[in-house]
Amino acid sequence: MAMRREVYIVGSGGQGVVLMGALLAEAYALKNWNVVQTVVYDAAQRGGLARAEVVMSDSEIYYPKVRKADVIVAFAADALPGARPKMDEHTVILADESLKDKNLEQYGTKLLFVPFERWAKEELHSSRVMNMVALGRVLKTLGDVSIDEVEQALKERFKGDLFKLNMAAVKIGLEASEF
Amino acid sequence: MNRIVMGDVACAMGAIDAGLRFYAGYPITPSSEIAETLSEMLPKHQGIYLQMEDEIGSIMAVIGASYAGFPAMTATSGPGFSLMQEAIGYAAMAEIPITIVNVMRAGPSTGLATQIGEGDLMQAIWGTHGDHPVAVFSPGNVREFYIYTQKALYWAEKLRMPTIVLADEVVGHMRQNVDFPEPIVIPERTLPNVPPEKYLPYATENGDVMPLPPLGKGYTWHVTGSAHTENGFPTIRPDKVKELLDRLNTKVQRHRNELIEYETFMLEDAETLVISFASMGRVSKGVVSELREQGYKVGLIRPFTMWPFFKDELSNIVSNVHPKKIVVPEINYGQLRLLVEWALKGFDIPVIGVNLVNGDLIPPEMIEEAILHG
Repeated sequence: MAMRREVYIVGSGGQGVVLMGALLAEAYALKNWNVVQTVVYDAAQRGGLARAEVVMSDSEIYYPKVRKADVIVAFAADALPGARPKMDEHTVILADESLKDKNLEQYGTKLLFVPFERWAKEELHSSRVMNMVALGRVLKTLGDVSIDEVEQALKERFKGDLFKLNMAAVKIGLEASEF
Repeated sequence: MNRIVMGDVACAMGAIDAGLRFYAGYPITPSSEIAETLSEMLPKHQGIYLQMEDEIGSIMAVIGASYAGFPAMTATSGPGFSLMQEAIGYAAMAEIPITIVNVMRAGPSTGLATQIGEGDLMQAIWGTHGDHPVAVFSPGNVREFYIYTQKALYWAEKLRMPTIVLADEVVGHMRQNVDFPEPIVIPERTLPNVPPEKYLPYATENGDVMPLPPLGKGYTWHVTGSAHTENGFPTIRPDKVKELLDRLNTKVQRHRNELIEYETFMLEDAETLVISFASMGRVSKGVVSELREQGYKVGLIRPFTMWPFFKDELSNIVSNVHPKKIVVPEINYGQLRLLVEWALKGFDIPVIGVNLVNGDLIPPEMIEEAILHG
């Protein structure tokens, strides 16, 4: 049976949705998996919907978008109703804790609120790396990629302090115990 | 080397590896990453990157650069492609090699600026006024975007005419791991075997138009969008006009066998034949593959050359395979289906369209439904 992982990331423009998807794909590609990332975003650069879909498989990927999500990452709730056909009872929604009052229970999936933004702000003084905290948390949920492999993927994109900041954020997500 | 590359970036890399020397463009989603990448790469490869004031300026600059001897292209999306149409005809008439990459988004007009459409097929083939030669290639994944950008540049130079690469938003914006093949290199311009004063830029040589000499070697000639004689000067003499237009309009047919490329997949004993291009070709291949595993007799053709259309080849395949029906999924209201119906007009086989334009790929379930119950 072919292994296939499908991750669906939604947020607003400027929250790093596309970059997070790209890094997830790159981490799996380093393991010699086939990966495809596609994106949907509004014409505005900041604000408006942003969505990345990442499919990773050990065999050929024809349909490049998510069919049934293993994990949905939500930084914003607006786009979730449209994602309903991509969810089933096995789907894990990892939502930022700021969405607690958005009635995400209605989707009937496994649901976990994680303080992506608060952790990024409190521990690294930069809410901009909330996407990397989320990346760490997704990798932890999927359990295929080691910390060394994600570090390698980050090194190919970031240099110096930028690498350190992003890697620290990924570690927060990866190493966080359940809460 | 296996690496992750975005489709638009692969297009730019393909162009550089083929020997592109000039790009002029006006950024537009979902093609902007082609311009962005070439703005960095071209100056490092003895090339020139020029951002113009609009799409009309862009394509005219590309025509000028190509005339001056630089292999040249531009990239755009629907609204910009519409603006470029007149100049495509000029390049066809003046026989200046140019390549236009159109990363399709949903139209008409501004449409869905950031989302997929596949509705520019007919425009790519017939868009400019008057009968004209053009070759249209369409990639369905990142690797193919690299390859068909190179083929388009190659054939533009070889046949001295405009060629078009018709990708779509998903192909352009998709990142995937890819292993690029050996590049196809744009042919270099060579000196004619006659002295400058005897050079006729629009005469034929071995049935094709004369090769273009590099500029600055003493060969100069008159260029016009008006009907002209072999020396490039305008004419209204009926015999000369006919000679010119006959030659222009048989250019593509003379080379159709070299130009036409398509992929066949699981055709043997297929009772349903799926024909699909660009991103939907890729999605359809997945559906066919899954249905075959379940024992359904279904096969697929993915055309890469949209023009010249693989009319005779399709007709031969259908004669041999005897499908009971043909299914054509595409993100428009039936443009490829029209070409398929034209190619198969002698056959009594239903051609069923799977059409949905809502900014997304057509879901595999819709294609499956048409194959099984359509």
